[in-house]
Amino acid sequence: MAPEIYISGMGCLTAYGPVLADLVSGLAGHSAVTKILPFGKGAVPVPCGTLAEFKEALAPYAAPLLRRKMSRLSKMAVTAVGKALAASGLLDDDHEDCGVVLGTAFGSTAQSDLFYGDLLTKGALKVNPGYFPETVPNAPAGQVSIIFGLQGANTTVCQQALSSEHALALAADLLASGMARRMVVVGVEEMSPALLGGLQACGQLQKWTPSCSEEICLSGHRIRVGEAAVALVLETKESLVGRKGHALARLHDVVTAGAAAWPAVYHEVAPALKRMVAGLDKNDCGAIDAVIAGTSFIKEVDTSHLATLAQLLGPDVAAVLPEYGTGNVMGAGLLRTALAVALVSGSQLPCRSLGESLSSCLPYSKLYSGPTGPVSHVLATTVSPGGGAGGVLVGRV
Amino acid sequence: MTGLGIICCLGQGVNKVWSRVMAGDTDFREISLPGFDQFQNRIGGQVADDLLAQASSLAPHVSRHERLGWLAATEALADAAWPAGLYQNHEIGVAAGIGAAGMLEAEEWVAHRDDPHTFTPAWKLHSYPASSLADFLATTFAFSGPRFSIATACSSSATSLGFAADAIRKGRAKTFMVAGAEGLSRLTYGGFHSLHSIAPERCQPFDKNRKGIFLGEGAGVLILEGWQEAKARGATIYGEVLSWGLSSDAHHMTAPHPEGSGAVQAMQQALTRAGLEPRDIDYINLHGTGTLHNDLAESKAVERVFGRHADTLCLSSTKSMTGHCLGAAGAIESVFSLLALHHKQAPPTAGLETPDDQCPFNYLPGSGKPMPTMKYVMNNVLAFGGNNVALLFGGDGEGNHGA
Repeated sequence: MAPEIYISGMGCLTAYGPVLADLVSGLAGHSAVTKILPFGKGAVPVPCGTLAEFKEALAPYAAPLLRRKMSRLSKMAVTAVGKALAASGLLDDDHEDCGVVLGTAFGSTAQSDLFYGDLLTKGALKVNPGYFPETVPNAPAGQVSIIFGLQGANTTVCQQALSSEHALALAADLLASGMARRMVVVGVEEMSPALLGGLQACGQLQKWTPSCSEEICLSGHRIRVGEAAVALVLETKESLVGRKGHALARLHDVVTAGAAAWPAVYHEVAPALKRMVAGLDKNDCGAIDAVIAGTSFIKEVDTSHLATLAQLLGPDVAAVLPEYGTGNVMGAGLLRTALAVALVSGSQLPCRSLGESLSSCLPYSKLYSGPTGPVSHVLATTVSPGGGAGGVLVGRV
Repeated sequence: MTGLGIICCLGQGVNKVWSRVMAGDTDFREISLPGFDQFQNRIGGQVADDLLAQASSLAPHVSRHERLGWLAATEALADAAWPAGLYQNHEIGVAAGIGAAGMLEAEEWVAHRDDPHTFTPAWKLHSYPASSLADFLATTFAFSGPRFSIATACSSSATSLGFAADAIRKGRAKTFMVAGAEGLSRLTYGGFHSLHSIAPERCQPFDKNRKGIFLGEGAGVLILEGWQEAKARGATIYGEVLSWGLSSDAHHMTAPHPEGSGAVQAMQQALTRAGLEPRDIDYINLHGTGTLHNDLAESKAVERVFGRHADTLCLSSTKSMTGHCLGAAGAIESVFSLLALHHKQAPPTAGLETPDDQCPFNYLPGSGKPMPTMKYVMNNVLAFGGNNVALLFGGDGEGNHGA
């Protein structure tokens, strides 16, 4: 029998600020996207939910010398993990059998661009070798393990918009199989000008307009993106009880169905969602009270996503749509699970009902109709290019 | 494991590559890809153009690493020889391990990105995401089951194999294609070059005169099925994933822990989960890159885990013949480990001529060794970021089949 798994700590950096409370309060007010110019000839500004400076938030966890060696992506991950471990009361604990699973769609594109730019302009004999180790997608997970002494299982999974859901599922599997007692799960995505330049060249991004920060505009095939770093501490019941820790929520199940694929050809949203919901293990919990739904800004996808969930779960279920505020955070979708945990631990979030239809363009102030009520079980969902879907079911303790 | 496929600098096809490996052959040469002439040391394990040409029917946007993966996958599927209708498409998962993914092609786009006088089409970026190999193979073969991509540098495809085996045991899929593929790229080569890790002339793991690694490229693909299904249809079973271990050094981004502590943890975890004793292991396919740090740390780790049994263990580094294929290394070396079990022969370490007192074990210099009583094999794969994976394979009939 699979062990009960609990979430005992969270850390969250988004464009709204370096703590989860910033996101919770910010969602009620305004979109956090700002104007960013991607790299490349012919590039035009795009809306992007960019993280503000977070040096102070990182400082408790990494000394200045170490910070200089880390990529921005690693700094984001380390900050989120430090906050999560601190919140769980495990920051100074022995972490011999605590592991890390990191999810990211693209990894550190900024660092790869920096190193390759050096190679192009200075040549092979003059590149800075210090830039190279941080070009690999698993560098943030490595830095996290080094800084916090996490010697357990360590891996990095990249599967587009389902990266965080896969990371959670692999971490839960590692706990269930006894390969770890505690796991830190991290979802992190950096929207570097290099990455934005590539995405824009591939025709993936909406263009910036002055109304971007006040309006949600859904498109035929272009998205708005955002940065985030989110970390959760997962523990088995045995670990939690053994140390007399406090759980924020129970992780009931993580399910992925279908595939994430590249390029962004969305199809089969409804069948993938239906397979995902059908695959959820809801034995230990009652009805789903609220949904934290991932949104892409592609009209056909988002409307199909919400309509299918309304059909499966009921049109009156509360729906929170955080990525209309933060931008689509791609592999950092753990953001949705963090909000689900916040909800079952007593926070209130601005929501609408699942059955309420979305218009092509609406003011951000009209996105939500009121706050969620008290909830016991929340499903965080996403759909992915290629017809994939992911769901994370968390419940009140 | 019921189907294997491989392509590397030694050639394409399990039979051809295995015979060359057992003979201790090497085929390293100056890398001829554009832009590599800037590197002082540029000998490596490049796949021959005529082998890659077999993938010329694929669309232009399909990257070098995807072509390598497709060639190995095609062989592995033919080898598995599934009867028609054996599995529904949604019962077949794909797990991939990559290093630099489509970096070689993305480099072309980046090189011209800011230049108003040149143009490189954006489809060169198509395979840049780390998930591109899994996506390409799944869509090409219409496998719609679970799909994930591990990106932990050198240990990527070994980790994919471990998680895929677990996924089958948990009933998430009936079968998995596990693929590791790596194409040479200037960024990765430039990185190792800048760290002074690349050997100037020869790759000689565990030799006193070692001078570093050779980078390689290639792909390994393994078809995994539930033991009962494979047995019931009379498939050739090369071996079984009995268990695996996964750990972190939590020490340094590029250097292994000097005492091999993370590797020790991974190997011990694999043994414990399989219910085996160190003395049960017959052969270990080592990470064996050919750097001083790796050779010493891995030898110490073997000593700590296996004690006196280390003196009788057979160990080898097949990277001495394939080069270090990074994201593909775990899959390629798992193919060799399974062939070792299947043929009951251990492959050698090429280029090992002068023993190093600090690496005191039998690393099988020269050519391969028959081991008629071989039952259990371990495959060690270590990586940037301090990742350590130990896969434990048993021959057909030696495991508990995940019970």
